[in-house]
Amino acid sequence: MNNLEKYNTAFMESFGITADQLPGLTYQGIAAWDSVGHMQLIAELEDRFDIMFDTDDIIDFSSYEKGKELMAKYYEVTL
Amino acid sequence: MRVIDAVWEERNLGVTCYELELELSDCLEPVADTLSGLTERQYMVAKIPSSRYDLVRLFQSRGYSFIETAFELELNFKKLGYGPPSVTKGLQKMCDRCSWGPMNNKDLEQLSIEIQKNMFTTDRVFIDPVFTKKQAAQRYDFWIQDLVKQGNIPYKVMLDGETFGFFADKKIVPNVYHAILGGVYTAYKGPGLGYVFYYEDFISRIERRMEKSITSVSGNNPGVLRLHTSFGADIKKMTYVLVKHT
Repeated sequence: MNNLEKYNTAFMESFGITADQLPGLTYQGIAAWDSVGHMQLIAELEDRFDIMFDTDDIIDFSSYEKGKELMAKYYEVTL
Repeated sequence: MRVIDAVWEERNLGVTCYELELELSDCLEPVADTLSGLTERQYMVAKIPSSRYDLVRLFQSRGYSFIETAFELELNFKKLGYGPPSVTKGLQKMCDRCSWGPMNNKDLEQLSIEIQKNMFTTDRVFIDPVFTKKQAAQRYDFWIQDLVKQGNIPYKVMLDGETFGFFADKKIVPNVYHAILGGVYTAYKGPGLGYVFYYEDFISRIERRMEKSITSVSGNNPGVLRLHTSFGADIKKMTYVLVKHT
């Protein structure tokens, strides 16, 4: 599984959604991505990529695309 | 059925109000008779146990409309081992940057400003088109003022020393509290902070040696409901709320 597949799987498993729902997905854009869902997503990503998010990045992580940007910029994960 | 003259709503909302509290054991016919003999107020609120659909139908036939399901939730800290759920290291680091403490007069002034910005948007008054957003906010502002006058000082929750939310509660009996109101300030309603806010609120309850904490959450706010249950809250009661304006 490459990094993008791992990233996408974290979203799909955390929120119970399909790949076609990922582009443009934003925080609170679906019922499952609420404050509890956000923490589940962060935990999934930390586990899958063996990283630890900074607080500011957890707060900034407001969309599927923004998450990709943060992963690349601060955690050296190319997606 | 208890008929409560909700005089406080005259000050809070500017309307006369009866609150009708139904019990599971209420029989349909006597309730119907009481309703028929009641001189209605401007704002009528009926609270019906969720399993009594016959009563719901009765009130609907008298012009009442469904507006929310109220969930009564209980955190039993003894059952939960006096600890919050475990979180990942990254999240723990975020939670560790939070702290809580009692509000002073300046904090209370700020809280009033935040409430006026409509930080609560899912309750039965806010979503009711008959009321204005200003009325909805004012009602909360008065609640806080009343709590403070009764000696219940609200607490602030801070991230790196900066206040981003508050909670207020009231002692029912020793070590058992009613969590009346709480939330994240409008500017901080982004990802992550709702969870760490609740985490800190939870920690404060353990540190204040609570055995139980009871609260009420609107079904119009499923995110907050899920937050409570993710920390181990039990649903103790569900009540349908119907309203009528005359």
